[in-house]
Amino acid sequence: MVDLTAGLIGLGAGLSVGAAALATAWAQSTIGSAGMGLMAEKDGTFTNVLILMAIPETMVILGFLVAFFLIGKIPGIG
Amino acid sequence: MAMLDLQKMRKVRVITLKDRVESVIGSLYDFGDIDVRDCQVSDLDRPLSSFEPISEMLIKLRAMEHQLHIKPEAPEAPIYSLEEAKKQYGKLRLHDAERIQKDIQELQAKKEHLVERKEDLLPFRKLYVDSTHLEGASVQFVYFELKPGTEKKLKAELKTIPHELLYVNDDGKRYALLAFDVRMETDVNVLVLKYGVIVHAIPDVQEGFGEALSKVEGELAVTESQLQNAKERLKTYREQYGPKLQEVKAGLKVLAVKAELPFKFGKTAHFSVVEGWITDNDVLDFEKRLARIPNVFYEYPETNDLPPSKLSNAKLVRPYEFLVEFFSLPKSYSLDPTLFIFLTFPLFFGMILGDIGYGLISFFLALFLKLKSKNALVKRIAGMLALAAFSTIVFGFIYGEAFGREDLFGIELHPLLHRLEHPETLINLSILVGAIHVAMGFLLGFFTQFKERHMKHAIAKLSWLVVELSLIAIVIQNADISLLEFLVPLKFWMPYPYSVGLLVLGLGGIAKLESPTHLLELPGLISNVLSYLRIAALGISGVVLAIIINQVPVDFAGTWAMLTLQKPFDIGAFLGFVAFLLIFVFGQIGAMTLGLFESSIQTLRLHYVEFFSKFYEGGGVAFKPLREKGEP
Repeated sequence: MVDLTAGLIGLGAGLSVGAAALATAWAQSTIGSAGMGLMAEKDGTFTNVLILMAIPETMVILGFLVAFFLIGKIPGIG
Repeated sequence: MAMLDLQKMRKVRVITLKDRVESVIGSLYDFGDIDVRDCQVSDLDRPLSSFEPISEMLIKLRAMEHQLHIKPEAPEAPIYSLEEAKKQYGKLRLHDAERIQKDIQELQAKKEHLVERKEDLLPFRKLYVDSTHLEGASVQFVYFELKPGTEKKLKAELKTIPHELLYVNDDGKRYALLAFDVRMETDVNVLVLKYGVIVHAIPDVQEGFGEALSKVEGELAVTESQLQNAKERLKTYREQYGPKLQEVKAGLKVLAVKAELPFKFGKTAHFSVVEGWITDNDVLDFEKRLARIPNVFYEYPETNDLPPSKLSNAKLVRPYEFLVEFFSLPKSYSLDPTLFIFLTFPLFFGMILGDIGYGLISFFLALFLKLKSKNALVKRIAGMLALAAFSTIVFGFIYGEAFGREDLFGIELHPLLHRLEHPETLINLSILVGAIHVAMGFLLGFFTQFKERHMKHAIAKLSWLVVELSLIAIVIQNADISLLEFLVPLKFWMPYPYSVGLLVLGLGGIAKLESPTHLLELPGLISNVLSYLRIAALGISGVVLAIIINQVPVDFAGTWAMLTLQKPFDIGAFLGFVAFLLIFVFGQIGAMTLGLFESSIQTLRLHYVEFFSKFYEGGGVAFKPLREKGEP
């Protein structure tokens, strides 16, 4: 029988990664399409677009961090 | 900091009499290491008179190279005078190639026409009727292929129409030649549509259809043979003159560069002026070369123009210059961060991928590309990959991983840091590496600003460094760093009162030297350091992926063998083994490709976003030598 607290913590951990990943994906899709437009219009902007694309990834990394610490709080795992 | 400096540049202006321009150009080209710029002191000159014939020859050679499908190569370019170039160009016998090409075009067109004619005649080859009889004012003829089994129905329906019908059998098909009263054309058309598969237009021939076909086939055979012969001649030409064509083209390209150089020269009634940039190291050589030409003067004018940037790094470090150029070159008076990228790129890459197997494969791949590729960019990337792969092998031993397994060909590996058992250590280590990298960025920011005499901003960078270090000290007081023992003394060196005091001091410095609004960037600093967590996160996800890939083929092969086990041949077990091998190999290739891609992109990001944002501006203009090293 799984403890409800453990289940909720696990759910929270999953959500923190999942929601952060969705947010990153959303941000990257917007930046990506705008970036493609920019690259089509102006030469030499690939590096800028690459950097802009990479910035939202921090969100999912932070989500991972939160999940990691949350999983550590599950009784029997931490 | 000399190793972080770019090559020192000097602007040079050469003034020459008009009749010495060609000599000056020759001398500048031989010198090579000069970035010639548009002259700003007067109107720009016209190219040398040789430019037009050279361009014309080059265009023709490029077109011929394209038409003959000669793979463009860059052979060593010979040094030609215009006369010599014309002579060599003549030896290429381009007219021969053009004539052969014309022949091929004509023969191709003739062949197509004959093939078409043959197809038109083919259905009539068994129609033994004199073609002159198929004409008449009141009689019309139609020749068509009959639908199988419709002969009787057609005959029945034709009863009401005056006609003559002739059947022809050929190659399993049945054709009908129908002669009818021209007034019944509409009715006949309906019947032909109903019972015919296809109507063939009656070809215009002088003799019998069979003879006409034989004649066309004979002509076609001759044409094909002639075409083949022409193609052989072109192939021979390509083999005989292809390399020479490339060589002459390379020589002409050099001549073209020289001939069009005066486009950048300034002109007066009697003089020409050329301006450019050379490195301080080359000044003596430059002066020595110009001294050989009479009536040529040079000077080094003071200027506010931004000098071009030329990086200068050791051979081992040089491949990483690509990453700096890819972002943006530093300004010539600024710092060159290549050395730092050389140190940290392989480190982060190895920390993320960290696998002996992947490292070895990447290393050999890099070696292969370095030795086999002729492309300069591929060679540079291979150079970067080789070092990164070496670091991956080292971290593979630290993590005790080879293709996601904990043994290498049966020999058990003893990890110093087990990524799955002690992820918290890897996380702490990643943040620590990030903190050091960001601190290094601030330190470089200080040096950059100091070098550019922006003392206020230089001290502000130091304030940020103080803020970061004090924050680390505060975190360490609370964090569990038992597995990172070397950090423990920090707890005692920097107790709370000191660290908090330093933090306040640093923040005060920023508010005072920059502006209070800059304090809003504090969460950005924390986020920058935490961003290095991706090293741990990607590493752990990579190793989990490799473990899954190792497990899937074992499970699949086991299930397959169990389900299909047959006797007396253990074919099921054999197929299971094949499936195991396929899934394992393709799975590992996929995991390694993903690992290489992710490690490169994420490492690059940590440099461009987290590290560069602390000190690097870029905005430099590349030094473009008149002649690249290695060119004639």
